[in-house]
Amino acid sequence: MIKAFLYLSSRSLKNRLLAQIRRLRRPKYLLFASIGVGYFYMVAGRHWMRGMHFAGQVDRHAPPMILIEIAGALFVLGCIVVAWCSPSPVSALTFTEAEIHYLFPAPVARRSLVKWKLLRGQLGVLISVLIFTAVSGPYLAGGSRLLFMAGAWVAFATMQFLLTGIRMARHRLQLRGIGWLTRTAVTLGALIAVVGFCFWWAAGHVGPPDFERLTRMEGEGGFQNYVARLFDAGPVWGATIPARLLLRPALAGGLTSFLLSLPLALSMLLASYLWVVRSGVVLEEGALVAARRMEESKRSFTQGRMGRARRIRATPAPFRLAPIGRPEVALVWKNLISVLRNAGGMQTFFWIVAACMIPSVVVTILQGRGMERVAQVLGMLCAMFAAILLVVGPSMVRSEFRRDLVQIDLLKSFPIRGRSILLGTLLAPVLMLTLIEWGLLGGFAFLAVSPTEGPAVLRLAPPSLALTGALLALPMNLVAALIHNAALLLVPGWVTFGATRTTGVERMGQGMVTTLGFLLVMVVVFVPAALVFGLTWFFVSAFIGNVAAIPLSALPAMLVLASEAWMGIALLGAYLDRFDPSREFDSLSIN
Amino acid sequence: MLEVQGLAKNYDGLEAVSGLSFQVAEGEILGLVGPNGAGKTTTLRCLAGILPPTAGTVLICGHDLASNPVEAKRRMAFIADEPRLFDYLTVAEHLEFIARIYQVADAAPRAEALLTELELSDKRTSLPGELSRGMKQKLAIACGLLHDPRVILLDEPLTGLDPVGIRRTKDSIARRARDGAAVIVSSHLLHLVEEMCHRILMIKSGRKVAHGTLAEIKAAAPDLQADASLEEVFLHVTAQEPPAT
Repeated sequence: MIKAFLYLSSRSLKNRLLAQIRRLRRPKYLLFASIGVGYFYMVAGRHWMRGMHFAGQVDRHAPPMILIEIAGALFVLGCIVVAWCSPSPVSALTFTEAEIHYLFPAPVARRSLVKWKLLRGQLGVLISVLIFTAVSGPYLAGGSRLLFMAGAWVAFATMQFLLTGIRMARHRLQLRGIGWLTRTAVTLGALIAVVGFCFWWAAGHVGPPDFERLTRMEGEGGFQNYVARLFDAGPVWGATIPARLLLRPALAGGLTSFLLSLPLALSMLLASYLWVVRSGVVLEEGALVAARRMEESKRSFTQGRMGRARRIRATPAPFRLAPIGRPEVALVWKNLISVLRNAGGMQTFFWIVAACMIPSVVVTILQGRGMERVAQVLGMLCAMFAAILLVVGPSMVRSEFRRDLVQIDLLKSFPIRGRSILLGTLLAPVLMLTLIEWGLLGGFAFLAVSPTEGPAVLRLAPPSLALTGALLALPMNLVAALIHNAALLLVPGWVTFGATRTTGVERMGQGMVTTLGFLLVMVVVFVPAALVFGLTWFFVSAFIGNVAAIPLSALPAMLVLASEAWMGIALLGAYLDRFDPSREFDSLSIN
Repeated sequence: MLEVQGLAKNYDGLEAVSGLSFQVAEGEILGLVGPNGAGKTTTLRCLAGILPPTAGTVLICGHDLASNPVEAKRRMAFIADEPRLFDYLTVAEHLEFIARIYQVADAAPRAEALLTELELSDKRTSLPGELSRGMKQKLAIACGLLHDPRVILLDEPLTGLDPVGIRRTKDSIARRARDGAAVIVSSHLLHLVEEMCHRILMIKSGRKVAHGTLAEIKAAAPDLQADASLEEVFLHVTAQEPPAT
């Protein structure tokens, strides 16, 4: 039976690779793939070319091996604790809908399915090990690269089995009525007890650290010495030694120490494998729900949203759409509804704002610095978040266009021009973004007062700066969003649409090229506006002063940006009119 | 009403459709049939203005789809086999949105009538995620018919519909043809095509292999019996190699 599973996995992998290779026949994909390979070579590949040994390559600034081993062990233990405290999974193991459809009714023992899932995961483990070795090897290993890889594989595979086992155990506990709260309370209780006991022991046997000596890495009482004393005896040793033993083959300095440390690590690998395979888990329970969630999450990701697909609620539309009028308004209306009903990203932003503002206010109040100071802090935070949104906001809102591009068949069958589709699709998220920025700039204008010291630009009246930002925000957002969306339209094969996610080294190259291209286009687009702004300010400020000159200078700059946006929409709209979805998307249909 | 001349579509060297010419008159229903991969969906997507043809012209109510796409598309509806819906719009909002896109002045009564006809009246506040496959298909049909198109392109329109839905949709298509619309129905359900369509266009490997009424197609194939069904005609015609053009 395992042979059939191996056939499925190997063929799937082969076909995926072949599809990626076939795509390289098109020059733009070949170019991006070459850049991706070049980047990978620069970062990691050249280390491989130097030979299989790390000798002479180990970074002399790398921390001592004992510290690496302890830090790694703490990381491993932290992962296990987090896994135990995670919510109960819907299903013990996650299968795709196709796997459920074909494998669950097939005459296959459930244990075989579990084995297959574990074995299939080894491909991912192997790739992780290769990348980890290439990137981190010179800093972590003291011996042969092959030994490091072998040791890292044992550690990674054991962790994969352990985490799978913990997931299955969580699911089993859930089926027995032991929920997340009880499980987490017990885990944290046990953790606190162990850590408390370790502290109590350390206080009596090792003593508190001498902080002056602790700042030194080596020597008696130095950091390395203190940590080694702490972790090499007593309960701290007992609590961490299994994880340390697991990491020792990877960190071995030579073949002898590798071979000596390998049997214990391998026995842990075998034990964790047997634990998972023999756990007698019920796979059917919740498998279909989990598969659907996975498909929804994939779909959600391909449409530019991160995380699990959320349930949408039909909240009221922002305004009533009349049947007659400009068709772009219909797209704005549709996308405003989309933004309002999918406000997950916005909610996250507001949580971040609140998370920064609340402690700042509390600290300022506690310091007894008065309400004026509180207002000043809040005002400056508003300005900071407005500036952040101006920079990162347009990349956040491009998901609206991505979501619409998935429906390209429908959009292209509509009796409207490409420029109208583009404008209508862009405007809703850009307007929402601009409104938030205006709100933040308003907060800055009303709450902040100009400082009496510092650079001249900071001593300007906040209302003047806020007005300047408010004038420039809409065209800046529109131009930046347009540039982001141009990439989606010009190289859509690189963007995740439909059910197939684009991955691989060419994706890396595409990411680099689009980022560089984006920055370049941004510079080209913003330079004329900046020049116009500067020239206007130069001539006007002498007569009316900076407070009035700066917002006044923003007006012609705003017009320049708006003209550029209009030109971009016209050009890209014409491209959209000629756009052939069958050349770019995987969902080629020739029935 | 719909005039197609020398339509061709290539995908990176693959000839999906080649030299396809035909007309669909006012009030006529044309059945587009062919084996899997024959190029039916590609043909319909070219006619709908989704894919730019490699060669050929498409006239919709006298408007060239290439040079005057907005006017041509305003008079046309394309209903795909897989319902294309917006996840965030309710049933009623889909119709409001389509009304604005197609500038339908009396959209409200038309939408109401369509919702009743397609048994979606009690689903007007539902999102697509809350609808069954068949209901989604009905909503896609309602969106397509809202602006009273003069040319209707249907790609497997009955997929996922229940028997009542199939009957209602067939009646709806036939009524629109009687009211003067030119309709193309692409389907593998040959009994449906035989029942509904006035003429049939059979394609294979992107080329026309037969075109005309069922009687005309049968007459062109002398070894077919006079009472042969469309299925028998289809199997006979598509078994042959397409003629070179």
